[in-house]
Amino acid sequence: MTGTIAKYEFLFTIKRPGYLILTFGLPVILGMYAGFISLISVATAGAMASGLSAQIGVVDKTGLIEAAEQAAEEAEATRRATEEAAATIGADPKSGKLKSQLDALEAMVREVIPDAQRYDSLKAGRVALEAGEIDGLVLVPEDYLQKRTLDYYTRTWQMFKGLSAPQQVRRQLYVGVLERAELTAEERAMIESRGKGEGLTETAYYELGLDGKFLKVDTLSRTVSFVLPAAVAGILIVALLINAGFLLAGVAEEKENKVFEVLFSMVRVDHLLMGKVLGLSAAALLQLLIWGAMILPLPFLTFLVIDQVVDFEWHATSLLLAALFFILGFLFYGSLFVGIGALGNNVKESQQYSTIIALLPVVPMVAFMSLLNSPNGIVARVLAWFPPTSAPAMMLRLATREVPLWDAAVAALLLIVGIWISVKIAARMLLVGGMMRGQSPNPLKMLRLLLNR
Amino acid sequence: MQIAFDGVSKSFGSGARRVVAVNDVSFEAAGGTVFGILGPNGAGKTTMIRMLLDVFRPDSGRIHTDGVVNGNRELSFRQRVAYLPEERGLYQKRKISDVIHYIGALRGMDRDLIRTRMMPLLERFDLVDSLKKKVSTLSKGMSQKLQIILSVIHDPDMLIFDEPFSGLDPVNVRLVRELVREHRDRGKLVCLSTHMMAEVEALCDRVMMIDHGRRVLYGALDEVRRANTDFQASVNKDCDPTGLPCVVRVVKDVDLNHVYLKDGATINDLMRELAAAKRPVRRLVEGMRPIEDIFISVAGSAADGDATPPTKQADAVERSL
Repeated sequence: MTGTIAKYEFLFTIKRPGYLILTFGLPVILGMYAGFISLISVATAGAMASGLSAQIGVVDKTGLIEAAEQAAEEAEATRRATEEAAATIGADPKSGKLKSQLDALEAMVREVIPDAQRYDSLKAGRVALEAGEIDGLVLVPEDYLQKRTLDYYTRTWQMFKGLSAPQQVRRQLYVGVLERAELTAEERAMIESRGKGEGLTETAYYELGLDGKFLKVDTLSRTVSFVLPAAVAGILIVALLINAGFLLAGVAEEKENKVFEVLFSMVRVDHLLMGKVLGLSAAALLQLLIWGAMILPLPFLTFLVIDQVVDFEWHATSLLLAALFFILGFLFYGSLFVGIGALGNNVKESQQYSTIIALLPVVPMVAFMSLLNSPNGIVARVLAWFPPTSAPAMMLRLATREVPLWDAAVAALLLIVGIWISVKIAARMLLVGGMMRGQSPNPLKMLRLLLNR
Repeated sequence: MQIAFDGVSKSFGSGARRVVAVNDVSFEAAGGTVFGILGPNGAGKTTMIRMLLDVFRPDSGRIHTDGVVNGNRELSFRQRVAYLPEERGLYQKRKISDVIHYIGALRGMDRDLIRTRMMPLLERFDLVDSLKKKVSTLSKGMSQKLQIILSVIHDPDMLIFDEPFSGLDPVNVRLVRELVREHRDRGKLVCLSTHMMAEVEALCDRVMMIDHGRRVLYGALDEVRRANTDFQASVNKDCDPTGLPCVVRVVKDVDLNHVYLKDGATINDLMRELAAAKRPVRRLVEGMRPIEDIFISVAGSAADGDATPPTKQADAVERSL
């Protein structure tokens, strides 16, 4: 019976004008939206990165940082002495020229003294890095002034995490250069350049390979490899929400049309619910396939053109797991949407009630930076193992390709248990809501009805 | 098909909010009969029907179908039943043919069988031309007819019709009446819940009346009417039997005179005396109150006093069964 309902729900859904418009029109809209978001992301990447600073270590072979730190210490001493002198003569340190002098000194101190651990040698820094005492290690090589390149070592390169570390070191180096009594030609060239070292210094990224050696990271390829699965995860979440919305609208419409009483006489309520959810899941998967067919040629063509530059790798396991979590997520949210759809007296009312559920998949989206940078951290695991946020959280985590298989299995298992519970609750909601007429479901009343068989 | 309720009760809510919808109701109904389920609004008829359809489960008591306890929980039972609820609706945005195919499939029918059964029904209810139209384009009466088609398309063994005549014009009332009789004659069980007492008298073989969740009347229609009637005969209004030896009292009604006979006197005695007295007899029938009067008096007396105990009349009926 579930299969029959699923088949008809699928056929009815794919013939709906709304579904057809969305399926064939959304790729265009999403493309525009993605472009817009990308622009914003690029523009705000620095700001985001500063909020995600890592614990770093520094190995300075030039002595520039030491000079910068000395200068900072002197600036700090000067600032204190100035403050004391001002206090003695009764001058107000919070106004006029004195204030701007003190602020400048304070800013210099703040810029120059980062929360970084200093190491004498690359070897010592590497030991600390491998021991997990620091997240990244910046090496300022002896030939820095000639090549203007820093080396940044991490255990595993992450797209945003630690980006602020080389930036911070660059500023120190700038101050260090300024502090030199006699400037070399290279130092003079640097000072004459614009900014505080930004745009002058390149950073080469290295991560620890499986063989224990540091390997240079192709950041462009890695960024593409990271962004594309994340975008796919985003599309999956959008598809999930949109199709769950279809489900809700369909059920609310059935209630409005008063067909539930007859349906309940023909099929068991849990069969009806599962049939609906499975039918809509199939329609959602078809929609994704169509979207895939429409969207994917574009990035593939792009990659073909820039193949020499970008080395993108598809990760089949992650994709399959993401598809699995999409289906499980649809079963979870879909069943709840069906239940909620039956509570309202019309489509509009049901949509209002559904906001609570619709917000759940958004939670991992809000915390997406945390999920992407620490895919196996506490926040990521809590969100992924908690059924109401599990599917979108896992889809985002899987984009990083760092989630262990056992971790995904636990999340899937817990989500399946969550689906079982949500189906039971939703079936009850469907029965109670489907039979209710002209009553607004206040929470207490609903609870009483749900508990009463 | 045979169904039986055995001491079935159902309540909703708890504590002070507890409402007993159905209270210890028992009855039996078998194929080849039209079984009328009567009762005032809120009496518990719909709850009873929903329990029969396994939409709700009873708190206590048992439901038998064809002798099987809880047989109504099986899918096979659902596929043998037709249900036309009082509050009925249709998928407004779908085509009529799509709706028929969907409901048919839910009833376990394949596409060919649906097509075979659909056309004669559409012709009978004059809806063939509307097959490709959307349901929303149908008038209220046409929608009613479509719902009736949907309910019987799978040739059910039991039909549960809740107020099937509401919203229908006289022509279609007759169509539904014929449909009910036809199914009854083919050995099907038809459960008819209606407030239209004329239809009850015209169609029902057996009736049960419930009030405040309790059974207050039950039995064959004529037996119920007879047991709730205290006069023995009725004659046409312009025929006054007052003063005849076998007559105790005459009560004038709207279009009949109801006659109370002396103990031991029969309707044959009355007929003889009327003829001998040359009274203008055009109509002489056994004394049976209309079911509408019984309904009003039973429902009224239950509402006046304690709702739960059955009336004396009902007791009398039950004792007689």
